Amino acid sequence: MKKWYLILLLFLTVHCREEYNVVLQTNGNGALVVEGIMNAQGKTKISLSRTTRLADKRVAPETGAFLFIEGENNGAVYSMIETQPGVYESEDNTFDAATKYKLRIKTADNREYETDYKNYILTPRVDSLSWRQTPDGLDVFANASSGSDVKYYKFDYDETWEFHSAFRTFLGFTETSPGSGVYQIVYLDPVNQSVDTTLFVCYNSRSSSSINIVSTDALDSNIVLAPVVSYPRGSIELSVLYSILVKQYGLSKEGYEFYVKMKKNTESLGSIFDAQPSEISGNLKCITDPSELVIGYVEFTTAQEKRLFIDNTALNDWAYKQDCQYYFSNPHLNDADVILQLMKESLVPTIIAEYTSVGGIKKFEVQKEQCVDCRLRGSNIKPDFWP
Amino acid sequence: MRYVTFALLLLISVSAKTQAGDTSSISGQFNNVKIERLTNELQQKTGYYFYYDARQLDTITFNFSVTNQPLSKVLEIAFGATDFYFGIDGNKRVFITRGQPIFTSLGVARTRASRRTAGARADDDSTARSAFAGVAGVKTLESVTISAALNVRSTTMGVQSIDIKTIKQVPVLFGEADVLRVVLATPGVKTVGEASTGLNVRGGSTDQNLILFNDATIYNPAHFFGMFSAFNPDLVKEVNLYKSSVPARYGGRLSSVLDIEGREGDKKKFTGSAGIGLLTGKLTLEGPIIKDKTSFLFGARSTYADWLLKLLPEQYENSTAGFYDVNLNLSHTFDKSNEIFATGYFSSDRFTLNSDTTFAYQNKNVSLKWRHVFGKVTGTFTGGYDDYMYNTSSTQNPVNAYKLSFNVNQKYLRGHFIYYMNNRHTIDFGFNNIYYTLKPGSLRPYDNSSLVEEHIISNEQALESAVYVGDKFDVSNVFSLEGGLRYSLFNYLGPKSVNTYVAGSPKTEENITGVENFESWKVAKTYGGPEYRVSMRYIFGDQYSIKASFNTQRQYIHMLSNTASMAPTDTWKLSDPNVKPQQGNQVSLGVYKNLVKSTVEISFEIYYKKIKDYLDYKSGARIIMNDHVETDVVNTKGEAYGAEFMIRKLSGKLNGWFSYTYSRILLRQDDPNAGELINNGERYPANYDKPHDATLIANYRINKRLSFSMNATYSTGRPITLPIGRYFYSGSYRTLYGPRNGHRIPDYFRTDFSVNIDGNHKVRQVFHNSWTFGVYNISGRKNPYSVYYVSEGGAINGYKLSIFGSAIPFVTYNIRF
Repeated sequence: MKKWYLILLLFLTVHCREEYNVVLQTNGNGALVVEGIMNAQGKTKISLSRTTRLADKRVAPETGAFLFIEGENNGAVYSMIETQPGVYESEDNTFDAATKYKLRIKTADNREYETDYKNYILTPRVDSLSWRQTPDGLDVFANASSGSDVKYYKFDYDETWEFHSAFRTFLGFTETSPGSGVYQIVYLDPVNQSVDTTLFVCYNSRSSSSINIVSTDALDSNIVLAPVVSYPRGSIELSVLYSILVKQYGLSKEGYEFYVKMKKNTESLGSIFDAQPSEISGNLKCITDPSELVIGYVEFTTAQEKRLFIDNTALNDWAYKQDCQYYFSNPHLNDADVILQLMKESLVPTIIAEYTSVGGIKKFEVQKEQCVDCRLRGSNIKPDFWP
Repeated sequence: MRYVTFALLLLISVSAKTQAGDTSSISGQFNNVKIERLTNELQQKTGYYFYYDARQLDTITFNFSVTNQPLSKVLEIAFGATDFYFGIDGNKRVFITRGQPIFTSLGVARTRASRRTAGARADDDSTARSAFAGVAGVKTLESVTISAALNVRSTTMGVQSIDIKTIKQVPVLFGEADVLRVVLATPGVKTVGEASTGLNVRGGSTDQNLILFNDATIYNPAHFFGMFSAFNPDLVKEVNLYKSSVPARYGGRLSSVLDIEGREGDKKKFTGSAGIGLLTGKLTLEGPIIKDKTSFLFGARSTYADWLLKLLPEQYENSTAGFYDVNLNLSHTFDKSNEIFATGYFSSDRFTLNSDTTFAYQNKNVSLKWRHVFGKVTGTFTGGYDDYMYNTSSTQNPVNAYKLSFNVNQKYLRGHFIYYMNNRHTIDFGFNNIYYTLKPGSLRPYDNSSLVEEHIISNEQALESAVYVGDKFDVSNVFSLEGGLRYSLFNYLGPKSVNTYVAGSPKTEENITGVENFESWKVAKTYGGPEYRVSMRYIFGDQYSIKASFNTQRQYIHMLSNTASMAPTDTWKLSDPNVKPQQGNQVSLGVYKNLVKSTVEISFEIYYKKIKDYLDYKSGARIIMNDHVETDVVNTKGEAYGAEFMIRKLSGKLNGWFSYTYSRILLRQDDPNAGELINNGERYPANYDKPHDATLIANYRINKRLSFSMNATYSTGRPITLPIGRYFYSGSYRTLYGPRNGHRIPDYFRTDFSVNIDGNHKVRQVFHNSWTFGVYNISGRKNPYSVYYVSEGGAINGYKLSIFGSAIPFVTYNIRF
């Protein structure tokens, strides 16, 4: 759409482009970024980091800070401890619905930040999670309906899925003795000589990376049917067994608008032709220097969660395909040099093609490693909650 | 209209006698009458037009009475005791000169600059005529400038009048004389950058200017990405920019009215001119159809810029670009009280990038005007049709090849009447009707192989009507008052489906409560209200005055643009139940002084302006193909203020002007119920806010054939919203933006220079030619146009972009025949 401009850019401008960077004027390395919720019924987890320069590709956690939740009038103080660099957690707490609380942060450089005192929002529970298969794929919805007066929601989710390799194997390459650099072919299960399962069944997981928010402003009742995720037909996530844990948070109106703005601001990355982006801050302010920019909206709310499993067998022709073909017609000799060469090509043994006269392996078939070893795409450790 | 080039005739030996062939008989009482009133009344009574130098005459008052006398006798009585002479020609024209007697003749006088019929004009625009006259004893080609001393004397303030001769002297890009570029050199008028002719007048946005070309509204006044204005300078007579007190007859835009007046064709003989420059060629032809009654004027321009695009890197070598514009003006005089004018204008731009992506836009305008004198009232009726459209298409990827188009058109009917009540009151009144039809957007698959889904946004239509009355009242010799009242009414009409939103909440997609359907011609929403236009002037002595004005405006049509400059993909939007009209109020105050026999004018004006419901965009706003634009825009409050200084030398070997402007335009969105707050509800500069701006234009004439021109301009860099960092939040890396328009691109400075060489001035040769050589941006400064960011290998890098990164020489050849 904006290509007309390209001509303009090119029009006599071939040498008119120069580097230009503006340095952010904030304290130290960047503005403080505060993410998380104050959980009125459970563990509060807050992450602190700093903004970085545009050219940087790392997260800059803010360590050594002190975080407290303070009650108004009742003198209650709940402290938090740093469990990982930049991640601060509290005990399981239950807050008084009638009392207002605020979050206070004191960073290692003795600057103080806080939210306003607020009562918490009681998030209604997630009634159900549902899914619907369409010709194009599958959609998952969260349903929350209640007499609650909460009008704005944020959904975060953690997804886990089981997936399988295209091929099973009996065999593997191992070093004859550690450090020798000479490899041989062996049965993975030397005792039973049975098929290995540790390379066949794996799990993968992912947390939400987009901002999922819903408003019921325009609805007659506060019934939420929020699309959470969708997958195109054939996706690996639903190839065996899929699970999603949806976490639902009630938001204040200001909190909702904060996320709307953040979502729009970060849909695209800084091209001059994009729509007007705007400054984003949130509900924290710096006490030490009121003009300092602090990013983040820490909602005082409760969390509700629900888990859903979707078994591939419940789906209609999901059509998941792996890019793996059989190579039966090309057996390889059991030879150290041959094995080294195969390893270089990321090929692994699967079945025996020809036995020696004494029942040893004379020739074997190979497959691409990614078609056999699922650990390349996930972990073979079964999660606790997995059925 | 006020710097009028007077006639000069060469070597006329015709010793025509001052004739008095008139038969009219005049009766009247003239007490303490100024020349302007005297001539106005005589004109009303006789149909004769008067030409004179107002500077010489406006200090004189006339006191006499006559009964049933012919015009010549009346003039003899009027001027008998003075050193003024008068002459009357066969075409009902009266020329008044001082010191030397005048002879009228049938010769044709021409100015050199435009080879149009040179003429003085009466000081009233509705009676403008061309004229020819000779001053005895003038032996060589000389010109006399008649100044109406408007700077000091006129009541209207904040008006900038530029004649075409001035426009043609200013050096411009590629040597193409450019109306808008010269307007941009006057105080209070700015643009966001080089490749834009969008005007920002006194803190107004580019859509707040009513651009009229021969009464037609021009929606996109730019060619070629905004590098040239869409007006052929050979057909322009004069440009008037009203930026503070706008006459009541104009309305519908908040900031200014730019009235570009085309000229009429020569009614005596066929003439023409042609010009050729680096990028454009042009041709003008004019002449009588019925001698002395009907004339035509035809002009056309076209580019051949493709060769420039061939110089681009190889992957763009299949790109083409071109524009053309065509004008045809016809005029016919039935008798002294009936004239009609027909004008047609068509401009077209088209660029193709890599032969697969095309951008095109067109202006089409036709108008018909009838001027009739009803006794003491002169009436003008104008009707016409204006149309602007753009379309873009891309076939780069056959699967999503598309055609996208937009169109706005308006049919209008206007009546404007001037009534010379007496020598103290001139009253004008009239009406104005515009019927708009907008096709806000259609996206269609390019052909059968495209999978693009057809999406058409339903048409919008509305009627904008206004009635107005104004009075120019000379309270005393030194104090005059001009008052105007305009009542405008806007009806948004069906058929249309309009979304309704939760009251008191931001208009967002989530807050849509329903749809209201309106049938054809059903009024969906009415807006309207009075607009006030008041200005006054007080003269101290003869060369010094102060003026004040108050002005209110309403605007019902808005441009939607996500770039700071005017772009071919900008669309327009009518006010509707969800988009309120913009309103603006302005007060201004000025002091004016003329020096050195009125050849040097100094003006200083200050203004303060408030704008209500100015449209700005929410973060991430989608403008093109949006069925509910109201969810992506937000009403802001604007505040603009500034000071403008100008010193201008009108004549002499060295002429030109210097202007300096300080101006701010600040917006504020602090209503949480309207949508997200911008910059936390603080005031922020609009993206065309450029506080300091200075321009120097100087012309130096060595002799009749050689002159030099220079143009230097400086301005503060415009504001821009920049990404300034990144952070990790809610599962992703996100970009941190600075405050809206919180940074500025570096300042702008440019100097241009040109030399004009005229061919010889032999009177009888058939062809006259001239050359213009020049250099644009002589210092080669890389003025940044914008700053942009791209993601490169996971990192975000910023670049500064200049449109012209070096000095650009140009040459133009013009020929007249």
